[in-house]
Amino acid sequence: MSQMKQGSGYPKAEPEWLDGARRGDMRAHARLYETFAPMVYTLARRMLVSPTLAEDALQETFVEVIRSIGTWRGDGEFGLWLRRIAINKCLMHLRSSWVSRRGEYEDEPEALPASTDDQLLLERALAALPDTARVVVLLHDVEGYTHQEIARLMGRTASFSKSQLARAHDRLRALLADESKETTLCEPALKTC
Amino acid sequence: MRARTEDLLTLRDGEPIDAALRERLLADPENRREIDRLTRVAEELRRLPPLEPPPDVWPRIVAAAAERNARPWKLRAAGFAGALVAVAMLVAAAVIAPWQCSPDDATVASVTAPRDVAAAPARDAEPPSRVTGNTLVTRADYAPLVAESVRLERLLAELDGRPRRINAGTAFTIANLEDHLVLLDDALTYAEARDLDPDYRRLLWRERVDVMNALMHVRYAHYQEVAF
Repeated sequence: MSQMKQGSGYPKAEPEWLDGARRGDMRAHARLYETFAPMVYTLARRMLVSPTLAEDALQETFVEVIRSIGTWRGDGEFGLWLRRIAINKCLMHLRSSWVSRRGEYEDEPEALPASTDDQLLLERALAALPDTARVVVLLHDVEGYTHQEIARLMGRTASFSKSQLARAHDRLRALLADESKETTLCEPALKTC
Repeated sequence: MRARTEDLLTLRDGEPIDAALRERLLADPENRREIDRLTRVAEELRRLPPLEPPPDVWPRIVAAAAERNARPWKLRAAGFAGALVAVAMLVAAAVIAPWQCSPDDATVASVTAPRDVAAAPARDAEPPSRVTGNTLVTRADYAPLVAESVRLERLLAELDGRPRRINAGTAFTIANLEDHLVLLDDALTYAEARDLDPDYRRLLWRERVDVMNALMHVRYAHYQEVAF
């Protein structure tokens, strides 16, 4: 793992929830959902940008968990397994040309809740990246995937992943420079907007 | 010489790089500042706040999981077998209706078939409620499915307007899916008219959205083949 250890910082699943979920207890599944839904939705929303597609990915991820938790061997973190499912669902959405096109029919997504101006600028710049560059920068810099792992997930080469990461950072730099210029110009004290 | 971002990222991430290149890049203070900046961007990306999902997703997950468990055949056959259900409903409607439907029962005639609902502008697509006797039958349980169906109709309508050539296999698949939709619409019309169990109506709407999704996949894939 290049940047951070995968699995660190995830919520924890209580063993009894996992046992219950494996037995098909929907209350246990509900507890897992309550605990992990924000993590999955956050990931999906940042990868897919569209709130509707992110909601679809959230739903499909947990339907998959309900169907497949019996196949999870339990030898790693549940959050890591769940995150892999969520990433695959998001990538499926991005590969499906018409599903991603649905986003064009949506209203402008509402502003993401960012706690600082810098975070708001970063969210906007991230959302403005091309899909592939955005996914690569999220998987590499946030999720801690290596270029080889990203290449496997996306069916491309490690070199492709590296060049997409560089492209993402070049684009982010330009977008952030533009955004902060606009913000500065719009300072009320300057009365320019 | 301006350093490539890819090389600076390689340095940032501690990945293998040619020693001479590494030395040359790190000798330039501007490159070191850029590596620091790239490191900060990654840290800021990881610090972005978590987002709360919409509140009503879990019930839909439970319903979707239950439906998939109950009807695994749907996933295999792209919904074709569902036509049998619709046919059965049509036969039942044909047999039962003459005995149970009084001549002045305007309800049957006034019920709007789903394709008509879908053809209406999306803004008008708020699922209506209908008063039957003293009972208010609400569509709240399956309103999202109705809305999704309307949206898919709108997308399909846009693709329908594009000129295209089509091969026999694709045409056959599309025709089958459209036939399936017609049967489902008849079944839905009957179910609405007879106030059948809302759960059953929800299943029919779910089926309709699934078939429309399948149709949209076929249609859009074909459109792209022609366009590119």
